[in-house]
Amino acid sequence: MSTTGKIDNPEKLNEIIAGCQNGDNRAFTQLIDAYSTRCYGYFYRLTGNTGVSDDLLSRLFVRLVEKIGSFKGGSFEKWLFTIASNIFNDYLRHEYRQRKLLEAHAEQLAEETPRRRSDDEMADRLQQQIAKLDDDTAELITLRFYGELSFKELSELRGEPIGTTLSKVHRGLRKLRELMGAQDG
Amino acid sequence: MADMKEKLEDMLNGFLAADQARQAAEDIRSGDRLMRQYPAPLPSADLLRDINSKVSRTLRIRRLKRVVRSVAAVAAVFVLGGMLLFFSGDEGDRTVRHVAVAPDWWDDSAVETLTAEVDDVVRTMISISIDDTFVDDHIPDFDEAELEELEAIAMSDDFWKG
Repeated sequence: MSTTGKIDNPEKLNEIIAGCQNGDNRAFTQLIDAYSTRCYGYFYRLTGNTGVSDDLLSRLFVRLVEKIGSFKGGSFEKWLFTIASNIFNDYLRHEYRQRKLLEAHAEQLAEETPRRRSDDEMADRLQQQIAKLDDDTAELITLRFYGELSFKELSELRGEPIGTTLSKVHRGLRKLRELMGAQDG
Repeated sequence: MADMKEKLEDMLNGFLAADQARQAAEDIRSGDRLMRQYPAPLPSADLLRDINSKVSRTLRIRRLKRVVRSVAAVAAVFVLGGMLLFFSGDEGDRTVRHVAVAPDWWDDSAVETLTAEVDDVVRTMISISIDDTFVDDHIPDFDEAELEELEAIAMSDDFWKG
């Protein structure tokens, strides 16, 4: 996985975060460089749509500016990907409402609205198979992979027991492998 | 990767039998390998430029709001101080201060004049702040509409809504 501009040194990361909390524009640029690739991957794998991913990534970093003052230490990645997850779920709710509204007016129109995970021409094989997983599992797998979160962090983020998280990720990844294998066959 | 942070087998052993835990760990690792084989697209340079510019703009608006809040707080202290002075003391003192500070303090037009003056000070501070921001950060000029939008956001701050 490409992690362009990744900050491996925790002290450096703390310094950048402190800069962001003081409103330093350059510190935000460094943070964007460090995390945009992974956050974009997270959004793309869940939506399968580059336009939507562009929009969600923009929203994430603008919200980061507004929220950075509330970061009180601990795992920055867990904190960042919690915001990313909230943004994605807001997007899902908005799209669900929009679709319901359209369905109420005209079934034909509803069919023309973009699907949450569109198999667009750019989508790779993995994307097509992730789209076949249920929403919850797809989000867990992508959160873990792109957020580089431990199972402990993941279970805390999701507010569920670690055993449940382990089991869901295990089943999800095994299903994904089977789906990829089935496509090969 | 995440499994570097923790010992996967040890964790799985807490929930599964040893051979099942080994198998589950292998399933998870091979799933991770699969994810690595298919990297997601990268955000475009245009998108990153756009995000950086949105972040800069958000930061400027927040700075502006802070300035307005500070000026408003100082103005509020002055107004409250004046009112306390006016309402404290005996009738004789009040009359003297009334005459000395503002002959028609409770007259609507006088209050409007004072409000307009405070607004004027706030607008001046905003324009100074915007000028400073341009010089410090080398940010291109706003057009008129953007400037008005910034001012509108700043002036509609909760303080002014009471």
